[in-house]
Amino acid sequence: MTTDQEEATALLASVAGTERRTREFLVYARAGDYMILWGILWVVGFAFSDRLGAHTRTLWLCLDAIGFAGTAYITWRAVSSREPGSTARNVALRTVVASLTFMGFGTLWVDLAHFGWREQSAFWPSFVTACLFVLGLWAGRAFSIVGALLFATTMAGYFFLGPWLDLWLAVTCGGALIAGGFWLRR
Amino acid sequence: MVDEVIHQSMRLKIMSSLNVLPKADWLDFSRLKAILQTTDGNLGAHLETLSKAGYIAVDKRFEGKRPQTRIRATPAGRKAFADHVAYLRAILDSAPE
Repeated sequence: MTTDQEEATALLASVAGTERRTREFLVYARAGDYMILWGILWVVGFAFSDRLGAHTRTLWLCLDAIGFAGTAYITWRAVSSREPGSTARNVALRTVVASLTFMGFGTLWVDLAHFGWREQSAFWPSFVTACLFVLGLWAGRAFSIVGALLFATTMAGYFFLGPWLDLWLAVTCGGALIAGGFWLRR
Repeated sequence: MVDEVIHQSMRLKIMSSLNVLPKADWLDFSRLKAILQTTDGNLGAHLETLSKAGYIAVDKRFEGKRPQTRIRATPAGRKAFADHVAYLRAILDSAPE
């Protein structure tokens, strides 16, 4: 049996396409765990934000601490299954540092610009979902779709839902992150 | 020399997908089916051919009460895949300008 150049070109294109789809699936499967974790934390945080008054900031600090620890654990678990322990620890540490950098940047500008509570509530989901949209440009369009949809729902809540904003964010952003996470892991 | 086992289009796709994974990692049957957009029967038949050639390892187990089938490429399978891709590239390289 011989293979002509046309067939070889088609087969190599098929190999490249399959490799790209497989990498996308692997990224989606790992990202699903992060999305479920942060989705649960957002549901809890936004659901209780308007009931805790002065303690709301403490609630979010606790939730963020759980989120960073969970993020580090998920990263460590994923990497340690195929790399030595020290590499897994380094990757987990870099993930936490990257997350803290984003959070520090956001916190700095929330404080410098004297955001009100509604602005703060809308800022974090819009910031994270914009990052998700950008990530999708390289890692798979599902991230961009989820990011764009959640950004739009966040803005809709901010402009049109008045005092119901936090509950809206709990359901749409937190709930959608959980649903999106399970969908990506399917 | 053409490797008839791996040359078939669906089997080449299966090996392309498994070759992306780290060596110790397995891929679920259902996930592989979704990546390749094929049917249970078609995928199962080609996996059997690849398994008989020693190119893949298939692990059937229970996760809770649910049966789960996992697949990964063997070292022989990875080598056969690399050799076949090199063979296809050589055909293109030998094309007259």
